[in-house]
Amino acid sequence: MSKTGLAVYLDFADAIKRDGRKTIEAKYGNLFEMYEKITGENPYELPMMIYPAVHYTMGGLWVDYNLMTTIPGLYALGEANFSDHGANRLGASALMQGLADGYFVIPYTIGDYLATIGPADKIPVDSPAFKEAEQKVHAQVEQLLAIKGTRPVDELHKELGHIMWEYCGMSRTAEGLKLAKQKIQALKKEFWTNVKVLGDSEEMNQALEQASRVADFIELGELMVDDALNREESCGGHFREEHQTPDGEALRDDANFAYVAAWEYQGEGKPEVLNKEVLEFENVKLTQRSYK
Amino acid sequence: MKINLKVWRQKNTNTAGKLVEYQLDNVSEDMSFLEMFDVLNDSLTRKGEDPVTFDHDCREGICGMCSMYINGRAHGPQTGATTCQLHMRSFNDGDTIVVEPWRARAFPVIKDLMVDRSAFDRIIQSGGMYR
Ligand code: FES
Repeated sequence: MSKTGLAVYLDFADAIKRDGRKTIEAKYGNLFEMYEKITGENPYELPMMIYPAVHYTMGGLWVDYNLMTTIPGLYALGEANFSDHGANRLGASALMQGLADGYFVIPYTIGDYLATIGPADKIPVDSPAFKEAEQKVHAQVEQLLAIKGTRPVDELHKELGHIMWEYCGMSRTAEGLKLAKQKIQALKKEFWTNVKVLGDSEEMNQALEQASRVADFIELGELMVDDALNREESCGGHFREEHQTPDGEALRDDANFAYVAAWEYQGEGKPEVLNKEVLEFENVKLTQRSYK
Repeated sequence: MKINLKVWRQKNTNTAGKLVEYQLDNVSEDMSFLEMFDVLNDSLTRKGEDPVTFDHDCREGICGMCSMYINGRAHGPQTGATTCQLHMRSFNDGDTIVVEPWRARAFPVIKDLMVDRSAFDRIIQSGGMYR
């Protein structure tokens, strides 16, 4: 058992015996080096501690084919958008999206947009939309500084992380997700009444920055839980334990869930509305993926 | 383990800075150097004292955001390693560790251990790296 009490072990001893240390080194040398730096243990000699970590959102902002969000002129690239990866962006696969969006899409689409607005159409900073956004940010900053509670931002941030780690990781259940929703709502209340942010808004203030982000993460975390609860199937990085084949593989339900869930914001405190974007496959057939 | 820290504190670019001493009694050898600073900042915040500003982002050795000049060496005692990949087991119980920002005229201190690196960004933007 490891010190954390969480890890299972991945042992390379047999592979090293079979293929030789040189081969393993050539394949995984840099990963083994990273592992040794983090844990202080040599994975060529001791089994590695592993754990199925939370895999982020598996999604992002809704964009059109030109990578523009629902706000005209605001583009989202790479992992920040939802577009290419579907239910699985494990490993470094999301790098592809960063590269594809950056090299092949945005250089063409952004120019097209800029050409339509012309150089004179700058958005004036006294426009009502700008004023409203600026005022909102100011109000939130003042609110965060005024709470003067007892708990550092980082502690609340970590608490949110633990909830997501425990109940909204690769493997989830309806029961766990419902509990997570309650816990996140309680944490949200705690955050907005008891967070402690020192300093002011006129200087470099990392705790204030972090508090603004954590406020967002709380919203996003709850949305991820809602989405995971809604999707009554297993798919990619979303393994609902209720939905598995007799031998423990992910069980999809293509008849009911072959869609992208685009959740639409309805305003503070209101539940998001689900828009289903149906996935149509013209050249490939949906099949069961086997990792065996 | 117990660690004594001497950390450069500087309110902003225009104010003179100085080394301030802190003592941490409960440092785990498995902590990264930045996690050790999280512990320090947690205790400073609870006491109502200004936490130490330092740059960080990915904390997995990829992005290059973390900096710090540790005991007179960039990123501390290891070679080819970022500060976030430096762990406290590289130090001994009772050690005194001096932590400063990266000092260079082109990179003025913004606050504490954070410096303004935009000069470097401009070099990259003009294609000055890896060419
Ligand atoms: S924080 Fe990204 S490399 Fe250290």
